[in-house]
Amino acid sequence: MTPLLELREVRKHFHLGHGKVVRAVDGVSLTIGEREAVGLVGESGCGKSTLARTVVGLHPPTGGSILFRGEPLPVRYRAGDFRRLGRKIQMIFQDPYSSLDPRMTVREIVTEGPLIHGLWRRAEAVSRAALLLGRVGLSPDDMSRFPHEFSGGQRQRIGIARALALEPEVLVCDEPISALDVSVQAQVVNLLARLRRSMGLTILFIAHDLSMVRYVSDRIAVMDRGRIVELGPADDVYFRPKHPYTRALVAANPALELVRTLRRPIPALSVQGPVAREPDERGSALDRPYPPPPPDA
Amino acid sequence: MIPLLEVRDLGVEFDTYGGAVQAVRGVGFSVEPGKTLAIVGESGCGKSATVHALAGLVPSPPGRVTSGSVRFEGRQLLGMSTRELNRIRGKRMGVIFQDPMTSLNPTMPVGKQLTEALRFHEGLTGRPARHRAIELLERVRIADAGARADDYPFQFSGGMRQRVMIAMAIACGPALLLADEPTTALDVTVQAEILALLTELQRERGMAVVLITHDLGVVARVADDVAVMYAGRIVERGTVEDVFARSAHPYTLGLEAAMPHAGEGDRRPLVPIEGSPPDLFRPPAGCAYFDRCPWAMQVCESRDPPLLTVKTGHESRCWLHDARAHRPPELQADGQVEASS
Repeated sequence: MTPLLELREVRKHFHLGHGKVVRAVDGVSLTIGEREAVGLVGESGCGKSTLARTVVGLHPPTGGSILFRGEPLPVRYRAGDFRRLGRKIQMIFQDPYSSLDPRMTVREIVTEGPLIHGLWRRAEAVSRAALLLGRVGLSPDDMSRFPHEFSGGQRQRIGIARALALEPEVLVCDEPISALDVSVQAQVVNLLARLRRSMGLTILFIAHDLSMVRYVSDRIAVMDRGRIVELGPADDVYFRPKHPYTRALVAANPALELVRTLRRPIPALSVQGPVAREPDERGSALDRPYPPPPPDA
Repeated sequence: MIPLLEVRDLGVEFDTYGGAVQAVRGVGFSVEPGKTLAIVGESGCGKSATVHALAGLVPSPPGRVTSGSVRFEGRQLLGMSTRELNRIRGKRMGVIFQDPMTSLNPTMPVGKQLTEALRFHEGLTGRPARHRAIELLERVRIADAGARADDYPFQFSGGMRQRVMIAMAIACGPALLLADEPTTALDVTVQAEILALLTELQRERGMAVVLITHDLGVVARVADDVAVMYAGRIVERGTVEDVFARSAHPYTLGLEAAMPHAGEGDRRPLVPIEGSPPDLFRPPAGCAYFDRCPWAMQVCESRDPPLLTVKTGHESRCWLHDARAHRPPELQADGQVEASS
């Protein structure tokens, strides 16, 4: 696999004044292949979000280098750098509330980037935005609406559409599902998996939920106090953790397995697949036998 | 056994600019001494409003309890004056919340906050009160408790603050602990420690716990009984084994199918629950899960099902458990299905 993104001894230190320094990212080396999905896990304060923001150019690294297709990314982005390189690495943020401008319509949010980058002509912007919204499971009718009119999961879809509008090669997802409910998490994770396949995306997926990260990623990197302490194929890290910190994380993982062992398998539900809710499907559901209402109700 | 807490037909509404939201629509359950009941559900299902109503903490305005009965140790809590409630809350009933930073007083050392409850309920002051406060901090395993008692909340980490909250909640030896998402804001390793501590204290003191959470993993780890809430109602309730191993409501099955499978190499696609919960400004006439249910029937659109008994102690608010329905194999729970209302 060609390395698409290469991190070499990346460091990001924050100076708090009075000589205090937080070594948020302290020498991280990681190579991500083309079309690979790498999961990055760790607890709050381990530096995973800082690393994500450094990779997309939101923080200038204190040291080390980040290479995209072998070319070092600038430490401080200038206007031209963003145009040339910035759009190739896009980010999806954790909080679908604060990461969308409340005063912009969905159309403005999605078309702003590609218009600035000259990827879309103004005349075609609306139709291309409509196409993109369709791909992330929103309707073209949503274009004139504002972020506050959407649920958390739908907002995350808007954020994904905004990122994809720039035709990136790398998608950095910083805790994209941790603010969402379980049923909606599955919607967003499935969407990301589908887009990854259809658009050939490379993904850096950051989360603290190890079981979800294992599900999404080819490899998992475990971060603790600014460093990667374990890196390996997803199932190896999850089922045969070597580092004591990873072991502690796996052991503390909320006991999804416990739920599963209590359950008997439910094959039929999976066979049936996602519950389609098209009008004709609704009709057939109504045709099924039903009990008449009880006489006393 | 006589239940410690018995809730019937509880209703809670909140006024908003768009009208009244019916957050809780007729919730009922009971908790026996020493047991843990977990109330699970997703955001907006009414689980927090339910617990706030139990503790008389529904902010009014804009909220109000519209119906129901809450009997705790034989006494009706709804309609009780704040003065009367204050003799119960903090003494017989402890409460811990999700965010320990906003529920502790930031301007008061934690030791002093602890002695406040002891003074109010037990008339304990001065040196003996401080001793008890330090004992409590030690009990929740805060290292160097004597010195830390003089620290302010901001000097504690999230997990430590939650320990302080627990110490305050158990200070007067309550019979019931209400815990509203106590570990949601914490890292998983800290979460595991706090859950272990809660379980240990519960066993030691024979305390009952009502635990609110959205995390099915947490439920499986600590609860005896589970109530699954959806759109302001309990849709399924029973023991942990009943609800997870013999799930009898399509929503419960849907939640489980949406979680990643744990087996090695198992990358079965997650099955999300498409759509979203109904608008509680105008709750639907029929089943609230109708739009999202893979097994929806005609009756479900027009008539809200009652809680039907799947087997003793295991109930599901779903027409599929009516004796006349053709149940899909996934819902063929063990035992005789009988209709009740």
